[in-house]
Amino acid sequence: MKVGLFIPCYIDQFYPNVGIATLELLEKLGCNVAFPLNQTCCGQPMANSGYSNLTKGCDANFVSNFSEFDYIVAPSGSCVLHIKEHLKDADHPEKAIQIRKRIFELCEFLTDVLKIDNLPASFPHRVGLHASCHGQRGLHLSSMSERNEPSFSKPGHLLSMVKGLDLVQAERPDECCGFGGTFCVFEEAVSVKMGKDRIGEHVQNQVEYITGGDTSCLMHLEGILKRQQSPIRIIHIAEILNSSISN
Amino acid sequence: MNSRELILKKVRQNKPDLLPLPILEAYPQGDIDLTDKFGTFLKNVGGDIYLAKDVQEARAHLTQKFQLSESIKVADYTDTNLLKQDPHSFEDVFVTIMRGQWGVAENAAIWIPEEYLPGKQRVLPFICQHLVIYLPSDALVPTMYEAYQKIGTQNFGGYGVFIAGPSKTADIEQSLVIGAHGPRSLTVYLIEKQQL
Amino acid sequence: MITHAKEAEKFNKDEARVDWHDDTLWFVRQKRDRMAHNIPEWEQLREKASQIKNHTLSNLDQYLIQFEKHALANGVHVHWAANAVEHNQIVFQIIQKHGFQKIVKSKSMLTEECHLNEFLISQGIEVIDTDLGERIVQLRHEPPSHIVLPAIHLKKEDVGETFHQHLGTEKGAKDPQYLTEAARQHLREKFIAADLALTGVNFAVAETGGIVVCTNEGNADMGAHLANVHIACMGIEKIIPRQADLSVFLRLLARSATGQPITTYSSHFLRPAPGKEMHIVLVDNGRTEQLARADFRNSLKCIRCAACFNTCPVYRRSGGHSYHTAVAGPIGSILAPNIDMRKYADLPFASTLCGSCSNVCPVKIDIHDQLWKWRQILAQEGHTGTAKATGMKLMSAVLSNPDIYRFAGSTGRWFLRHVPSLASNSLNPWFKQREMPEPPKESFRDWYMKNRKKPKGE
Repeated sequence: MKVGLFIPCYIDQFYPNVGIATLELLEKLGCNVAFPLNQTCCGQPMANSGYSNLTKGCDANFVSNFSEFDYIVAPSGSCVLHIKEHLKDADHPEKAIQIRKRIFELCEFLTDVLKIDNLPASFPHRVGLHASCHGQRGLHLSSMSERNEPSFSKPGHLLSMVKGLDLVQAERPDECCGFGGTFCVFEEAVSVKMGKDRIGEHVQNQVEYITGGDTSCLMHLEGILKRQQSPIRIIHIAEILNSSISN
Repeated sequence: MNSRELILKKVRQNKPDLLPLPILEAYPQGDIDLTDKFGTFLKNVGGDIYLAKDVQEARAHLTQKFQLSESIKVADYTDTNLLKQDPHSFEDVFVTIMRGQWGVAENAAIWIPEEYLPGKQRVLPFICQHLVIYLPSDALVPTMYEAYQKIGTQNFGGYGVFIAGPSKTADIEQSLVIGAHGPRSLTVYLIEKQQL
Repeated sequence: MITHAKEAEKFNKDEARVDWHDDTLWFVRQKRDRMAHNIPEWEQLREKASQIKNHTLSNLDQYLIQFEKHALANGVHVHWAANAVEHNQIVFQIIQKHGFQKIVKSKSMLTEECHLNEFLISQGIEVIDTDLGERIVQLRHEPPSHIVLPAIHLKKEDVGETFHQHLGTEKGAKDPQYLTEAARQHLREKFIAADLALTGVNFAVAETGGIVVCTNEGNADMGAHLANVHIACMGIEKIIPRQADLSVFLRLLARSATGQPITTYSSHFLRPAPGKEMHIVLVDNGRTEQLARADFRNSLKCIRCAACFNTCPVYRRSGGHSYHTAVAGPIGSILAPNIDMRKYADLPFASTLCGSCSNVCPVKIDIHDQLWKWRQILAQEGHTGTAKATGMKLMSAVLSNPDIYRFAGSTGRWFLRHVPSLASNSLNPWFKQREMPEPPKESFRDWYMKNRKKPKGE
């Protein structure tokens, strides 16, 4: 099984540890992983701002980097969803279609493809889970509170395998954090208020960490937490799942 | 081109290809006690419910409940004099008493066709301070689907209404207040024997 | 120019009030959830409702003709209005013909859209909104901030002060029960005195020519049954084919809107009462243009339940007035640009695209996808501003080329300095209330080059 590791641009630049944890975790679960060196960005920042006509370069670059693999895995629900829904390549339409079918968010890859039912991970802390909207509603990584459907959570299921981890459910388990791409700057007031409210619930739950599958949401929440000089820390789910495997 | 023709022309030009009209269907509600469910929902929407073996018993009960006397104005469905009156004359009606045709268990809505309105006066269930509905206990259906199957399309006269509870509003800070413009209470008598 | 972002920023100056607004609407969303989760066939009903509406839109001309035919046979006058101006003229002509002075209205978002009140009042007609929430905002000379809960932006103290000024309630009184009673007495007088009643329409049934109006207060019925003339105004998209289709829509509407199993009154008007007059005004006002937009036409399925408002984390924290349009919230943000792209170019961006709106929609409108699609159109038509366009082009150039991307990244984390400042060069909006991420010593790629030999893809 050849797995292409897709590390979204802002993770590459700001959160290399998330990339490292993802890579190590996949390797230790027996995957043959490669990181195509010429990858950049999925194109979502432009597309969500109304400029999907400017993503052709990103699209072509993505296709040339990732068409070789059986699976493509990324520690970001948002970027995966963008590729699944919007990747196009006029020169290689079939390759783009294949990539859209083969790309997985990390938790869904572990749950649905590798079908992990135990992990030798350990993380003895009180943790709150932030469900990213694109992961949850877009990729259906967990049941949605609006829908009349059986309750499930792929990230929650994985975290339940981690030794010592005390997962605390937030009161509004799937409310948006307010990051929203460029929304976070163009609608700064509402964006920050949404983030503060998400954090407020986790503070009430006295968690030590907030985790999630989308670094973009976490970056936004971390920015607010640091400004508040809060002791609560942000950690990507890959880092938790990889915690004792790497130790 | 007048606006009618203009609108229809634009609709014809702009509408998508014809899509199918789905068939409506009943959704099995399991083994439910219709009276129980109807009563629970009626209370939830602010109504009162009583079981009465016949109209006489209901009438006696409501006379006491509303402390009715000669001086209190009641609009009753048996009163044939109501037919020709000006609706404005009902401004001081204290209690309206009328029959209901069907009751819906899933939401406590009661169907009132025009002929069931006292004197066919449409305003009477709204303008009164309190509303009383007699409903045959065997007139309950599980959901709105069955209700519309019963109602059909043409046999309810010029007007018909589903009523579920007393008039209410929550427009001030989502605080529920019973008695907005219409009745301040709804009392439903489920009449055991088919005497209506 | 009014923008959602600026208005939302003002709204957020009073954080305690934002919290209250958010909690109040979240309470409604929770009531909706309880209702939806207690109907096992909920998702099937949504699908059914969606299919009925899709079918209706695909055959709308025929259903409009069928509806008109049956309504005429029922003795109802039918009028057609191409736009808001014509709608207002039709209503005014009916009023003038009778020499009427006093109008009572029950809630109609269509008449808000057409600005009917302002027009009639300028013609010297007394127009009284009778829905409690509508009356409150009317007395305050404000537009409704929500299509189902028009005064949801106000606290009981605000209402108390308004009623003290206009209805003579006690100074400082704020008990909702007391205030509602005062409105009841005040509006009873108006109902009794009214010459004409104007209502909206929730559903218009093609096979019968009848209309259905849903209220909790009973105000539509009080008005329509007391006045001599009843005018019902509706957008052409309110048509449904069969009366029995109501069973699907009435099961969904109130549960989605307020978390009630059904509205208190679901009134079916088929024929005018003897000696009375009934009119129906069918209004286009941009709906046929929306019908032509394949990506957006299904927004015409909307039954105005406002579930998308109540669930929207942005609406709850920015208030209805920040949308500066008659229909606010997520659905308003996909309807408004159809009417005026320039004026409402900001609205499709007043969203994080979280998708909750599409999930609660009882007729399955893909609201968040349409918000995304409107963004594409607005950018292409040049309605998003040159600064943003330039920034996006620069970003695209960097991200499309791996060499430039690596260069930009390694020379100081390009993103850190440039992405947030797209919105403003003088002030970095990210940094106002948030810290920037700490730039690490090396990128993941740098680490990978050092720690993994002979990587694939090289």
